[in-house]
Amino acid sequence: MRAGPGVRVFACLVALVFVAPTLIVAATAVTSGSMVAFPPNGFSLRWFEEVLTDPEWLTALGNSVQVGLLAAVLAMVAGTSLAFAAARGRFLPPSLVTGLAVLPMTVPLVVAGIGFYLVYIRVGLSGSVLSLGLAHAVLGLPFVFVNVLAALTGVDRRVEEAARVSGATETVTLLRITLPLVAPAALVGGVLAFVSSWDEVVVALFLNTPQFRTLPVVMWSQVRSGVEPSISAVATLITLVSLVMAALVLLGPALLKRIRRRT
Amino acid sequence: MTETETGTAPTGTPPTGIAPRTGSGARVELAGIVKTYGDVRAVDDVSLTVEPGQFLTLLGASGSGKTTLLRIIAGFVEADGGRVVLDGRDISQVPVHRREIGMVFQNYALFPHLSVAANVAFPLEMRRVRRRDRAALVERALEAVQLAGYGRRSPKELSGGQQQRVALARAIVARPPLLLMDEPLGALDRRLREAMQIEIRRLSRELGLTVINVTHDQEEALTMSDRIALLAGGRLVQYGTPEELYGLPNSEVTARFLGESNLFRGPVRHEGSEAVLALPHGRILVPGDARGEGEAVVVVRPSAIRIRPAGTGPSRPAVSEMPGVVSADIYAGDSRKVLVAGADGAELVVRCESGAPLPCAVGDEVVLEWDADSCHIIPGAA
Repeated sequence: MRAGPGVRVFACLVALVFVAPTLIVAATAVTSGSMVAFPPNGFSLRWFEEVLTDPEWLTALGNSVQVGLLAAVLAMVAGTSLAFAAARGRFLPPSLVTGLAVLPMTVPLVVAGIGFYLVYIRVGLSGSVLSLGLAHAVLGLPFVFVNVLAALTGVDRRVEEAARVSGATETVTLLRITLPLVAPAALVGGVLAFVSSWDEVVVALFLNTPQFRTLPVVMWSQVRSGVEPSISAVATLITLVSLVMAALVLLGPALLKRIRRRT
Repeated sequence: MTETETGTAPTGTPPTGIAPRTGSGARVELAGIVKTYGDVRAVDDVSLTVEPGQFLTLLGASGSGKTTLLRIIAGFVEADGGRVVLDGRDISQVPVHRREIGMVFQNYALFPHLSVAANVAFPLEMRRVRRRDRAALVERALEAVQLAGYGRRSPKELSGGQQQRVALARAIVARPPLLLMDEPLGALDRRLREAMQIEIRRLSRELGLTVINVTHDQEEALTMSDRIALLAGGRLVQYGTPEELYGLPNSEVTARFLGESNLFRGPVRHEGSEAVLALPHGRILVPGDARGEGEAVVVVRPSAIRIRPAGTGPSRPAVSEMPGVVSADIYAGDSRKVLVAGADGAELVVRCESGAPLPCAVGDEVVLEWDADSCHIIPGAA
């Protein structure tokens, strides 16, 4: 069915409403003035230069990247394991596993933040890449879980049986057949987990210390003392990274296929 | 059947290039296999023996237990009772991956992320065949299924028939003594299916493989098999050659399942030297030795029946007769199928040559007649 002109105009308007704030922020970042203003006052990249040479921003950037990667990897491992437990497990009812795995999606971030804060204080794990990475891994886990579970449901059991009858043990079948088949889904989940960690501010605020802050936390504290175009520049950078990640998720599989076909 | 009955491997180098293992196919014995799911006896005390090199088809409708039985032989399902014996060795407790059998699945079940060659090489790799020997074996297996040179392709690029050939190559590459096939041709169209039937049969003969094939397709069973095991409700109904099952069905189930047939059931009555079925209509002779009193089932194949207009006399002496009304005349190329509503209410099937003119039209009253010795009595039904 083709969309009529009315539908198209409406869709464009909705998209504009979604995109406009981001575009406006990006526009204020390239101003040559020292005030956040729209339309921008001339064009320059001086605020990007300032951000990328400022040690405070750079440290925060490094922290964010490390936390995001750690969260993504942990979420991939835990989410994939839970998906296997839900799809193939013999000990726990699948509905229980699924309920637990998607729970982080439904718990309000403030509640989760307080929870992590209290527990980490108690166990002496606070203000580090590890602590926030763990917390973000929990928040990113559902992305991996849902993706891998869907992929696992699509894996034909007879393909695994074919491996077994060919002489593969259950472990070898898992490593050589099943895991490779769900790996793309796990990777997509991992990218989503990274993105969710990358711009997560609530839990990060609870777990921040003066020595350990991620990009959104630094942004938050700077905004409180007045808006500068440097904030806009950081916001634009954060958005760009998220966009690239989203593009990876959306276009990655098609690209991979093309590469594979060439080899 | 003669060549497979002896179980000897084909002499000389087979054209496939895959040398048969010494003794090649395995002897498979199933002894009292039982499997229950809840209250349902999916497999109910099945015992049979497949000689080396034989092609056995487990035939039955869905729910007959044929697939469960195959999965028990493969080791995917553990039987509640009974033994699976391969070449004298009880493998009932051996895990799937150490049974060393080949298997072809209905939906091919190729590894989608591996190339054709890697798919075929997988069993060799699992059996720790040295890497440098693998490539040659893979290529030979692909040659055997006429897919030489397809090794680098992805399974997704192949047609259904080609994918099934790859699956076949993967199943035979490690030269297993036993090949299991779970409705391997079910997903293929008719022409391809018939071509594959011939090819699988040729391959299994050349390799001297013992094959156990599952199907619900009676034509496939009759074409390919040395032996057919007909299953119904989990029980082994009849086990024998295709000729035996078709020509000498031992039960109504077999007679109905294999080919078209007309069944008449009734008490046997003796009239002088003849025995007939005591039915309100027609006159159906019971051939052979005079049977005792009691029920008998007479099976008449559609092609054995002649049609003549009502009111005319029998074309020869000593024929069975059943009156009826022609209800349909279906042209089917090389034959025509005439449906007749019998006087007793049952629908009877007659097959005539399509070239010969039919002595009647739809709606006409007719008499069906057949020679007494061209029908078959189901033993034990009496």
